[in-house]
Amino acid sequence: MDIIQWLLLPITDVKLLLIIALGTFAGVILGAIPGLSVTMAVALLLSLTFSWDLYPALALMIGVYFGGVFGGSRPAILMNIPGGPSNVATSFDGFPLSQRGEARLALSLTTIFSGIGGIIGIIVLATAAPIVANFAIKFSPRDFFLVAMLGLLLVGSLSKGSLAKGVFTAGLGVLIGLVGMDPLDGSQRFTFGQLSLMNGVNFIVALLGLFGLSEVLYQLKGLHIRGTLAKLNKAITVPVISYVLKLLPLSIRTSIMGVLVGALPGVGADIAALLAYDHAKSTVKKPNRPFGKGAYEGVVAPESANNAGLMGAFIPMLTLGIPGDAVTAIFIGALFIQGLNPGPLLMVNNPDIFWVIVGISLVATILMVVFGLMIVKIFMRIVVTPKAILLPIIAVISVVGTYAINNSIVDIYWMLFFAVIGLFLKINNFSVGPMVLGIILGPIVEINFRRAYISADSNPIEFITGFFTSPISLVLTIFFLITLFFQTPLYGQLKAKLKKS
Amino acid sequence: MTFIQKYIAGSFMIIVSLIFLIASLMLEQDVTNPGEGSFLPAFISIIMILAGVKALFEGRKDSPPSSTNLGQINENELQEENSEEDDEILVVEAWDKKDYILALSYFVLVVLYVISLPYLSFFISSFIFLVISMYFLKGVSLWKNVLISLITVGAIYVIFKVLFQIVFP
Repeated sequence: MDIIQWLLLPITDVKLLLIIALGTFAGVILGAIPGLSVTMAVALLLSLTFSWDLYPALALMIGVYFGGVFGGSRPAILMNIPGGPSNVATSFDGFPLSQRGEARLALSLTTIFSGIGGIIGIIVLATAAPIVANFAIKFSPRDFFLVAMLGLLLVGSLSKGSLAKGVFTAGLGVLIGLVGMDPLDGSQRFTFGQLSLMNGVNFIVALLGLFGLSEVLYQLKGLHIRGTLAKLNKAITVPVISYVLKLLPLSIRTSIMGVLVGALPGVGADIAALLAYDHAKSTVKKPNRPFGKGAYEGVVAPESANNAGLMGAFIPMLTLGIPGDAVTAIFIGALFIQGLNPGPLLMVNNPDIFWVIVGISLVATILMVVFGLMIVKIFMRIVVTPKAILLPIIAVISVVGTYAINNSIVDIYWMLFFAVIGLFLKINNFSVGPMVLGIILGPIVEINFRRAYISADSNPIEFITGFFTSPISLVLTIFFLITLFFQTPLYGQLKAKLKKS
Repeated sequence: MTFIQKYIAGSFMIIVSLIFLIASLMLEQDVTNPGEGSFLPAFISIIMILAGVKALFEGRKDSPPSSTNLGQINENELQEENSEEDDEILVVEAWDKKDYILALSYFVLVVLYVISLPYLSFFISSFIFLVISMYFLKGVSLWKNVLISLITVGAIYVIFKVLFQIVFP
């Protein structure tokens, strides 16, 4: 009975419902503006909702997250500029559709199927997470170490740029995560004599620098480049319902794929969307038009998968405390701030949090579809917001948001420092995502590694054999080694392969 | 592609990793004992140094216009194929001198804004910063600039104060 009560809380609590609506609406709008990333928006919100209660804070962040990933499909379709990495695949067929004057149909189809993808994702989350959590309670520190390493490995290799650079940024993130007090013996590490580093690098400050201000500086290049906006001239002449029914099986397949891919630690909705597009291309024998020229299947598959992938990424986050991508890393940060310890015990000690999150996700997904279908005209205006206006505003919000965390000017200077680092990395084709994951995963990797070692009586041989003797560890170790072995810059290859044809 | 551009990423990686390696070695702990706090950081720094060395080699092989791995080589090929209609955001282009100067001078502007915050209060310094920014970045007419700046500062204040209960500098 409790479960139903928690599930319905976002509807019965009017304040919560309003916050979700606000967040989703804001997310749809923000996501539709090219240059405003979802990660940036959620990071900003984390700094602003610092003093809030857990549920409203989560409601706002989840709303913006879902709305934002969906909103990113709007510029992908209308201007051939994806609003975020999860919408890259949508532009392959979305923009050709717009050029044929079918923008309105493309927008409606993606809205409906984003909703369907999201709901399938939620169903899988609600059924799979309790099972995974039950299983995860048996995890030893060694197993957590393996899962966290797997996450780092995947994110380092899947992100754009070279493998070496991915490994470096992930490693740098881990080291930054270790700055401050040693959790086991209390000594200071990597503070370089700075008093302000005694408690470690503030995660949110780093985020706002890496995703907020550095993005502003990075986008100054190409400031006045503007995409050509497609026209909305043609009204929908085809019966949408029949298309929806026809495309439903594909959507269900790609949604399930999306959840599974998203659930891998370190793999997020962006990879899920690309894989789904690939899947659609290889399985749909008779699309209405060839792929790349405006196939409806080509927009439905990635948009179903990316929203389902979001829910998939929630599974390792809520059951293991291991983030699936940069945004879920931020959510883990939010749970930490609220004094919670994300991990297998979260489901046991605070089942309410899990079910309320499921409820919030459901409401946010439904609202996303409603907003997406209602507002079409507004998108035509916001996708062309000039960057000369947008970027200074983001800069101000990054600064104010940083100050808001501790009311400290020193934090702002640290934010500026991270902005410079982020800018340098971006200019040189590093991706910043692995670094954020590293900052969150660093302490998890370290403490579990050391605990595992100490619990093996500090005996290296016993420690290493442990990876192969316990059944859970053995499975994870094999999985880890396979991943290490078949390490390829998958993201780039996949994207290139899809675009080429 | 100049010499610096080729090697800067790899050198940066090696230098940063070395700093962390030295810092871990200087922690007064037994670095060879995996149970202590310096082992894992030292281990990770060494892997990062190796990654840096690999990046140096990748940089050497680079041919203009900048490509560091398979994924990006493909991306560049693709851009040649459909360069006319390709989306600008995804284009991986090397930064030229003009871009660096623009980014650097804008960063200085942000730093000045942050310095001015405690003296001028949030309202005044944010307003001035926005007006100067939009003027500096061009493309926005003056009256529109002032109007947008005013509305933005007001909106940020109201939203942040009411919704998020934030203390302003």
